Amino acid sequence: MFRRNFILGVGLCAVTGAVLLSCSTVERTVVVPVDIPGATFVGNGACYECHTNFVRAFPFSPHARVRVETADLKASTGCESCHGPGSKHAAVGGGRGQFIVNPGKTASACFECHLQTRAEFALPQRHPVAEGKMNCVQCHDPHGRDILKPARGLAMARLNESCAGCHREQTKPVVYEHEAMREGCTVCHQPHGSINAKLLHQPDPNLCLRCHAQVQGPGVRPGDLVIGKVNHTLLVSRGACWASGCHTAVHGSNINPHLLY
Amino acid sequence: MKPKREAISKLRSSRREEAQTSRESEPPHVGCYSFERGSRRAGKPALLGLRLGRAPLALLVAFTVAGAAVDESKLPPPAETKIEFARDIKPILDRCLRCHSGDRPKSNFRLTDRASALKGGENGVAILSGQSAKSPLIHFVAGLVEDMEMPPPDKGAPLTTNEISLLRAWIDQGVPWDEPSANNRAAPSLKVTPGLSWTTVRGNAAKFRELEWQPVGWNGGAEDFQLQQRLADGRAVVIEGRAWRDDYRLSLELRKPELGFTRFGFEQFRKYYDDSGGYSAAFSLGRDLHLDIGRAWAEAGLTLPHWPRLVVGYEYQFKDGDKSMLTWGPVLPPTGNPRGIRSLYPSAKHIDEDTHILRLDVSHDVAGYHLEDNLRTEFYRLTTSRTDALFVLPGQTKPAALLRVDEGQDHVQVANTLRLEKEVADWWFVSGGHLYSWLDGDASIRLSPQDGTGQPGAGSAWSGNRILLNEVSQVFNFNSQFRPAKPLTASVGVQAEWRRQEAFGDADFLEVLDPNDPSQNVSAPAVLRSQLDQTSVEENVLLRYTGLPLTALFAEARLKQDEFTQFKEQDGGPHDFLLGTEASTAWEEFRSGFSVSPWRRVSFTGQYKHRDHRTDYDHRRDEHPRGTPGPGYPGFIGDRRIATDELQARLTTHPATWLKTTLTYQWSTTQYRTTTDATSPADAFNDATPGGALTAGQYEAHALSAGVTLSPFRRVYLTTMLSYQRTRLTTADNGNRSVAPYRGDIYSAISSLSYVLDNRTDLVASYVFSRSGYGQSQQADGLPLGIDYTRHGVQVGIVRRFSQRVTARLQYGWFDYREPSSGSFRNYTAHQVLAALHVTWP
Repeated sequence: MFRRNFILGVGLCAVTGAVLLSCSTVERTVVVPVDIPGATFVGNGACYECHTNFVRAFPFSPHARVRVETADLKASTGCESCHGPGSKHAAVGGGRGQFIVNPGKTASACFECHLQTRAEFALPQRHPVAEGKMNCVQCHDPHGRDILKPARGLAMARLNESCAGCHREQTKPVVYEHEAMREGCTVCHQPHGSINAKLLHQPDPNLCLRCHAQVQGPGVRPGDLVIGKVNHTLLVSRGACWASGCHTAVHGSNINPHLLY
Repeated sequence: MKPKREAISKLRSSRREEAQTSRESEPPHVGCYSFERGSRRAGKPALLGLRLGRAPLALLVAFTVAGAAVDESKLPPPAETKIEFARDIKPILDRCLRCHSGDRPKSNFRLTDRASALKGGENGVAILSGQSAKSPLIHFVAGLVEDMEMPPPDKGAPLTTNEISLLRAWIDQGVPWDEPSANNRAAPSLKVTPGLSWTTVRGNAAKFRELEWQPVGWNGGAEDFQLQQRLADGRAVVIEGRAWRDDYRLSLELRKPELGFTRFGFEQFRKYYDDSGGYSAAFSLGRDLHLDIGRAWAEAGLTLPHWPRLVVGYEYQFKDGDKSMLTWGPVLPPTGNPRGIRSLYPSAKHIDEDTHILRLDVSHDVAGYHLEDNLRTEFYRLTTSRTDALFVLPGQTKPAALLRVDEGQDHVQVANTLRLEKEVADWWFVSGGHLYSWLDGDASIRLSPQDGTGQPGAGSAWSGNRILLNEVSQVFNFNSQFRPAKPLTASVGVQAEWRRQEAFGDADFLEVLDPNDPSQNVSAPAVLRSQLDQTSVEENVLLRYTGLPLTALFAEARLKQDEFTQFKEQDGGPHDFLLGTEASTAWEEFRSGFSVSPWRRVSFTGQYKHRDHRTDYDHRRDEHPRGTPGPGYPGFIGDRRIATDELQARLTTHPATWLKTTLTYQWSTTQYRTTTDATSPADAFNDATPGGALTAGQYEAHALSAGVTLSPFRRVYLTTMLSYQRTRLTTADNGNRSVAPYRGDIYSAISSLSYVLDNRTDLVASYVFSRSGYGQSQQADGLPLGIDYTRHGVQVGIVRRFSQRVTARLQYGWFDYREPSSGSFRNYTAHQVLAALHVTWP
């Protein structure tokens, strides 16, 4: 009881102290992105003056789906929701980093709305966005120009364009492909973050059975598992399908059609 | 038109004389290179920057006609005070910089420095020093020239009489500009944050490095640095980056307005891997697994006004190191029961990957068209080597047999995209483009069986040394955006794609029976072939309506039809087969929703999405081995369908300036359906299937997130995000006890707090938490790979400003990870202390 009261007392003192301190005069205030000290919202129209190509294409953007021009909640979905209020940026004639937030350098602006994505980047296995080694625009085009470009630009020279820019080893052409590659990397991987190694949706045979299960034959006992014509009952008991000696070449093989090796 | 031409000519002549007079009467501006350039251009006609979208000639005519009739008596008189630029003029000019600055100022008229202002724009001189009444700048800001008011009516409020008087006095007093000019050389500025940290870990240090993306022990260097030097004539040099242990970045930029830029850079970071395979403490590779990932680049660009923008670049990307794999090797049980075999032994792969990229980008705006061409040539080289355990004997900690797999690939890829955009009218925008890509390369693979010591052993020694790969694709794209009425936006897009991929190679499926006696090797040569021809058409339609008060509605459809013909063959070898398949795929995605903001501080969005992906296969040839009717695998899959439904909702409130809340919910379900043909019962296992359709998998997920940003006092800022996710996947496993349903929960919390203690001191704290409950319990029948874990990360620190130039930060971090589902051998607790100093100069 004493311990509890002690903790409570310390907590109350801390809160009281904080409030008292807060009432005293301090010139500085806490400012974090996407806020820009002293700047006010100017609207997409002002951005159009210089960033014509981006603003013109904005209606194509997923962000445009939820933009309400007449909303009183300013800049909830326009340019300034991600780049911060633009009055000072416009006043100095623009320029890189001139009173403007560049979400390409920090994901904090994106996380303001994409809460679940932010949570995924806190999972044990993740792309290092929160660590500052990557950023959102390496994979996403927030301005909606993607469908304006033929096949989303040069990156689409390969399948799975967003991933192939870095993961060439997994997306390179091979003799015997895994057809799941044609459906996209995200069929098996969670790109933002996962609790499983290699950002997999599932770490076990469930991942493969989603597509490779079949109606079992009359001679197959309940509990046994046949895939193709091969009884996999014992094999799946060992672990995942891509374990050593089995389908290790899950992204495609240059020597075996069943993706062994 | 003739009288107008004469008027233009007359005006130009008049302005030229006035400008010349002005230059001659102006005091010399020592050390200003641009001024000299401006003097040489003094004979140009005077015209201030023009409004967007107006043809220069039309405006010239407008100015000429109106300018000839300027009534200078309407101008307010010059102010009678001694002008101080920073106090009187700069606040006024700042309003003009929005258009008349940057890389491409309107009408090429720059108001960022004195020389540029006096030089004028592409249409001539705007400021006649000492003659404010004759200066076009004054005429325009006073609104004396119809249709040439500055700022334009829709770009800002007109200048007040007092402001115009100040501008007049400024011009009459010789355009004093006592602010450092962009054309003058300035002192270099430096920002640097050196730091040092120490991290100690109790428990699994390798797991700490993998999950926290940082090394154990000391870490230090410069968190960031920036050196900026402004040279004469607007040129600038910027060097910035970071140099932390295992994490570097350096970039150098030299730029000159209206000419171009060069950029160089290098960056690299390290990804760490746990070497234990992740499931059993008994097995570890005992290696420091990490992969260095980085790139270096150099590019040069031309940004000459009215010329195409041109960028030539080179980039080198690389990956080098060893990473862990999921190809865990089988460990045999003491009992000899094959049901007890578990794939637990870890595996790693060495990767050496280099990519050299040459790039040429050209873009230009001409006659209302925006043209862009991007050419890219890529030279790729990859070598990998991994060693997998074939089996680990009971009671042993090292494998008794290994298999080494070496692979290599080289290819050259050339890709070019051409894009064209045009705003046909205010309400109609079109774009189109073409992509061509060509790839040519070769690959190799070699399997080398080894014994437990790494010496050659018996087993499969397959190899393929001359595998040729070729891929060609072309894409055509057309899009159009309409705004037939103000509240309605519509866009349509069509994209057609054709792709051919071919592969051809020789292989030898060699079986080594006795590594000491090559004469017993059994060779099985084979030819490998595959070809894929794919054509697809994709259509996009998007509608967006904002006619309802405070509401936006949208609906989208994305459709894609895919046809492909695929041929796979292995001629010879142990897997002799031939498969010829024609298939068609239909992708459909529909999405609709709304966003409404009924009250000033509330917005709510909701949307529904349905996605359906169906592939029908027609296996024209299915021989396994060749000449013998199949079915092979996956040649008996008739069709597959993946259907997803998804609901999303988000409520955002901003009830006060110090409080913002966001609540999101997402529900989704996916059904996987597969249909197979019947298979023959005549095989060794009698494992025939009658074929037919079944639900192969059923997935459902709920995700709830809440975010709060709170700043109740000026000195406190708190942001917190909470998330809960629940998913469940069941698959058609025929009641197999080795495959447990994959289901569980994930809880996450992320919070950060900043507190301004006083004018020199800040307190900062952050907390990251996540926890999952996906543990499975089928140890007796399989490998429970689902994970239960709890992860905490706490960081608290103090930031102290010692002066305007020096700020220090002291930070303590505590990290804790518990994973009971794998026997807790991955657990760790880490403590970290970090000290950093942020210095700016001057």
